[in-house]
Amino acid sequence: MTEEMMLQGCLDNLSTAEEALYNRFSPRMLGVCYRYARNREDAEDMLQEGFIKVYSQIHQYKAIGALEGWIRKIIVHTCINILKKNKKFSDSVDLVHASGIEISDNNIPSMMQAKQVVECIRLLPLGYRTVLNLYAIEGFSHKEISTILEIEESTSRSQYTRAKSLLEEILIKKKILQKPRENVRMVSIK
Amino acid sequence: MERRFDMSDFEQALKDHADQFKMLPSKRVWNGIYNNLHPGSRWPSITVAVILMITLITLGNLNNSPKTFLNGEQKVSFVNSNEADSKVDGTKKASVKEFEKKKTGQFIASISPNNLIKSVPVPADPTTHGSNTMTLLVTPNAASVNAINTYSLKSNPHDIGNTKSLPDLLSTKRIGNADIHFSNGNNRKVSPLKQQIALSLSNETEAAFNTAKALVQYTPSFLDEVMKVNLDQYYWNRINNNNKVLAYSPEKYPGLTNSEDMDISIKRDNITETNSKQIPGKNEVNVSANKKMARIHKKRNSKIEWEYYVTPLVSNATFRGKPLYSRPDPGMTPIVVTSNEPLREMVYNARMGIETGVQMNYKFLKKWAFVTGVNLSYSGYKIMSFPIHPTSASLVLQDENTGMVYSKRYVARFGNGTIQNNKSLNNYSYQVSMPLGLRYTLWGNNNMQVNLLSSFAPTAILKSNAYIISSDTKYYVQDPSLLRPVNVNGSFEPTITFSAHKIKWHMGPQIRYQLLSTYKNNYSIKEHLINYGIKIGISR
Repeated sequence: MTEEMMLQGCLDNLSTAEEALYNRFSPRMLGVCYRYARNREDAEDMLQEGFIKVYSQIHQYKAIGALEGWIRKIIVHTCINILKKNKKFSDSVDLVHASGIEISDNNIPSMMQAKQVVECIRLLPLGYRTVLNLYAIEGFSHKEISTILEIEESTSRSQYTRAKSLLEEILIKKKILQKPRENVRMVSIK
Repeated sequence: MERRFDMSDFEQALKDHADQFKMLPSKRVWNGIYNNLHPGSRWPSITVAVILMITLITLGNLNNSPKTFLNGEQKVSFVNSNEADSKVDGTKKASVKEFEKKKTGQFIASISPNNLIKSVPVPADPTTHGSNTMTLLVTPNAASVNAINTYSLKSNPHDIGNTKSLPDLLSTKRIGNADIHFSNGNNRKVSPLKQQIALSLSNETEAAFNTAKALVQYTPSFLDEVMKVNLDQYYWNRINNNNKVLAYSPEKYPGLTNSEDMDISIKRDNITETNSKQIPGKNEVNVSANKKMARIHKKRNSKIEWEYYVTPLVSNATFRGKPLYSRPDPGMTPIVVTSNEPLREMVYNARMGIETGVQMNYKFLKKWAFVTGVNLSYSGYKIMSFPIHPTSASLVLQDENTGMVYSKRYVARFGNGTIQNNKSLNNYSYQVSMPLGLRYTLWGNNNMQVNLLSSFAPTAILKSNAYIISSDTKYYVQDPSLLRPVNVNGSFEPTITFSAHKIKWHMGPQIRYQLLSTYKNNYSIKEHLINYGIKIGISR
């Protein structure tokens, strides 16, 4: 089923089209949710809420950009909104956690490729992880992040710097990133 | 292949890797979304509501039907049971007949001259892009077939062409049949939801076509058997379960009227494999990682399931035996005989009770589970009586060990029978029991299961109150020493289990029978309590 058919079907409330849309985009979107969530169950809750928003707002899609990008935007905002409801998140995103965090080799799960990198990201504290996700992966600016998360722009910058540094340390320990730092490279086997 | 980048490209590298990451969501996510989008289609709720209603009506009937004992035979009245049976039979026969009628294609539609162009929306084929086949069958004779001047395959809003003369096709095909092949997705971008077949009739032969009937058979390439559909068409709604297509349910196409009902049952198709193969090869590792996670998740969800339940029930009793009767003997030795005097019948009625508890299901085989737990119950029945002035009454009892018969005297305050000033006496008991049983899964998938549970439950009587009929059947007396402190219950429960919002619901009727008499063996009448209930349970 093409995207046009799926869109038209969704507009007509046809469950076949809705399911086709879900089947096409849900695996990647669950990957997105998983980077923000604490565990798989939370990620699935985020995905469910996100897709319900997608279907309810699909008439607003203008077919200017890619459909996947539009869906992803809704999913990311849903994830952030769910995280913001959690008080622990509000605390963690404003505080500096870098000192005192110890990453041992045992903490890093042994998995490969994309999942390995994502699991390394998930080892970061929630606040760091969220800022890193929004800045490095979703492409938001620090100004936009400060608006989304309702924090200072400078906080976003410092959170990101520390997140990046911590992630680098994790990736090196996991031997995904290799020293020397002047010529650090990320190894990916395809 | 090894890919390198500098730390200056850290964000890009991170983005590349993160974007590749995919996870397969569990089926509950789609179920949640679907239920939210289509709240009217929560059919398990409807099923449960229907079961509850039927059970409540049955229990209501039982509750309002008084029973008698000691009247030569036990009379149990059922309201028009024969009539009800015949109604059931009639319905079954009618429905079978209806099904046969549909199965043999009696739902073929007529094409009338004032409706020369009939449109048949083609069911959506969301997964395949292969060639589908639509067969047009026109009956009853070739003359009416010739009445069809042209046919065309259309896709709104633009005709995709492919218009041909039907008689040409008929020359190479069986008379009355025309196979129309069309491509879906490969050559043309057409929306399957909107494809239509239109019959255009020539003016000259309108009259000849007046009696013609047409049937369209549509065979999407993803189905393994032909669906016969009416010209007044339906489209199909896929019912998915974990990416496996289980069935297609027909839904009326919007805007069409006079559609006839039809049954479509379609076998399992091969779409399951197609879907699973849709995962790109490069993500195989991710998929295996997900499977690994799923296995870990499974391990965490051990074989033990805890179920909490409550069972509103209607309780009643069954009786066996007759009271012993003693006659004074000059030698002071009671001679025991069965009384020849007419016995007064004992009228009793059911009453409401409740049971609650926790049940542990340990699944030791795919379909078998060991069941145990603890439950508390309150049950009993009502006896129709009337108050009297305190009177002496006796019970003739028989010693279990020696067989000696002896008599005990009591002060009775209630008489047996129904007069104007009657009163209901409550015989009840509070019990705690520990069921031990087996559960067999008769049918089921991840969403829904039908289970049969049979169990025995050693039971301790916590508190009870019993009015016992005297040996002359004229009075009711009380003697707690005649009641058993422990008993054994047997139960049978067919249960429907379905998942909704992370919670499993277990519902179904329950029959519980007290295997040993309420009274000790030295009392000659045996009373067995029987409970009919609706079990409503939840588990994670």
